[in-house]
Amino acid sequence: MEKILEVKHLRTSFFAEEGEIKAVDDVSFSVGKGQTLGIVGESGCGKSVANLSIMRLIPTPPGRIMGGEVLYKGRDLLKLDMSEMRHIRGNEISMIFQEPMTSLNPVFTIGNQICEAIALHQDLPRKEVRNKAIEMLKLVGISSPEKRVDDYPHQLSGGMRQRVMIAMALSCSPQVLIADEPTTALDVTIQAQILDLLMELQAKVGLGLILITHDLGVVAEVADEVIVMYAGRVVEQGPVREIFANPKMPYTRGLLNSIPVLRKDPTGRIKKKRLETIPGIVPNLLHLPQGCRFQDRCTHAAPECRQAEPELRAVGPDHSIRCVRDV
Amino acid sequence: MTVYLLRKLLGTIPTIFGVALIVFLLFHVVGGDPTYQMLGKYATAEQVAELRHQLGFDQPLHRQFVGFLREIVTFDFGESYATKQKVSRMILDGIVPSLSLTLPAFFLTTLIAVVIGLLVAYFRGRWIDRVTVLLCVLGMSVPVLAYILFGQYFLAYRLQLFPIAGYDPEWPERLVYLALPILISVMVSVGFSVRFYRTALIEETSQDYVRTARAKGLSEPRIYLKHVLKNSLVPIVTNVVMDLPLLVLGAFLLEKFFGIPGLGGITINAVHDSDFQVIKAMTIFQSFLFILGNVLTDVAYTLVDPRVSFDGR
Repeated sequence: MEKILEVKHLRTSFFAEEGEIKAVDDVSFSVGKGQTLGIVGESGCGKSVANLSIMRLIPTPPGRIMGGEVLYKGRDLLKLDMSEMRHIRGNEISMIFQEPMTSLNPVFTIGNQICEAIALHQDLPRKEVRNKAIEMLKLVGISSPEKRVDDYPHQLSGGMRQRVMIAMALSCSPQVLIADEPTTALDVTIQAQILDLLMELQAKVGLGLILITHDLGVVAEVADEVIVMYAGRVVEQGPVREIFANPKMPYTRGLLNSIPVLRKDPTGRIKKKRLETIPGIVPNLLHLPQGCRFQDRCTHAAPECRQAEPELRAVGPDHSIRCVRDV
Repeated sequence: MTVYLLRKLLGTIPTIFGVALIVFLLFHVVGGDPTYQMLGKYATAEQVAELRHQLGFDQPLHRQFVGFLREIVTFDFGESYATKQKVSRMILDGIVPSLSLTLPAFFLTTLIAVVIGLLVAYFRGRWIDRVTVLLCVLGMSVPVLAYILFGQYFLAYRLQLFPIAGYDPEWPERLVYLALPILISVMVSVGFSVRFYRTALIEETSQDYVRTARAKGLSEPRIYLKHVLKNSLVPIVTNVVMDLPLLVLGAFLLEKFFGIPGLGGITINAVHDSDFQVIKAMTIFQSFLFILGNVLTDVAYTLVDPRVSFDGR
């Protein structure tokens, strides 16, 4: 598989009065052409920060990318100057966000906002730019795009706005799309539509897709590879089938067990299983425990887990975990 | 929109009525009798009674109130007690000199404040931002009187950069006389304005659409001048349009000190002379302008924010 984007040993910190918060601590992953990488984890595990770092959209101060490499087509994005970086953003690598309601500028028409991206990165005459914007709206399934193009964001529903965001993100035919919880704020039916749309477009243009989510159902559906993050670290990574069929890290298991299940008992009545949760809360990144970061919430924690933090180790082909226990 | 405006203007009638009532009560019930003031302390009872009759103060209160309402509707407030001029004439004559001072000062202030606001919003948290905010607070803390005295003594008297005071209706002489008061007016208000716009702009820069704009690959100047500025126009326009009609009223102290024959100076003199007709007329006039400012602000919203419209689309 040809790697199109490779993140190596990325470290991003935020500097607060209390000290350095290592939001992303030595994280590596990659995505290939036409491939989907799912990044899962609880809120605050660093999954969004890692991806904002790829785009260099970390607000500085207080945030700062402390080290690592982001290789795109062999070039390290972290070393580019700002004008080169702007050429990458929206053109080679695009991003869509969790909040479709607020991610569009309320005082400009959606056409204006899509055209802005096209005009910025492509040398097209004005008329063509507008046609291209309409074409993009059509591509993402917005009906009567010729009329909709002059609508303001507040005239559209949340799902529609997310489609507009996708249209905008894909308008310059990027190679990589980072989708940061693109369906979290949407109704379940709309979620499915948006995911289908993303998959369809991915197949059409051979896009490398990074899908950030805390919804394991979504990951199972669409991802090829999965990385699980916890407290700024990658704790398990592997092909999606392997992760779901054979999760090794207790945290991943915990996440999988926290998916609500409804089963029918032999008489056909729906049986509710008590929802399992992972006890405790995510550790404060300012005061991480010595050893494994998950130890306090782990049902399998042993004395050796409190010694030193485990390294990622292979437990199968392409499958590795950050855990010393074989459970 | 026309329907909306008509409704809005009709809706102001009760407000005006209420203002008129309060002003009337303040002047006629609480305020005491202006005749004593006008005749001096050696006036005889007959003189007072005669003047009271002349001015209509011997009539029952409700008759006087109706008379006051008539004055408002016809914009005819009779004569000034002090100058014996027609009050409506005085007001109309004062508007142009006042505006010659306040309009340029206001637009200069707004322009400078928005530009500096954009810059410090961009550099927020760095030293240039901190120094600017500090200077703003300093500028705001110095009373206008200090600026006037400093300006007249050092800039006008010592350095002879400006005339000390005066007014000339001819152009460009008018500008020569107004330059120093305009400068002072800008100095006094720019600090507050910069801080106001800085806050409004910074609030916008943390919005999600700014992140989207960056993710698109837009440059920072483009993001600030297009996306952030257009969104900040809502608070900016509110501020500007609300203040706009009140500019007619002029600047009290500046006009007084620089001898500009505007409404501000007229009002100060009227207060000094207990010239009730003028004060009453100015109070009502100011309320009108304030209400006008409110209506204009509503209209301005529809121009800068597509989410607001009159036809309820």
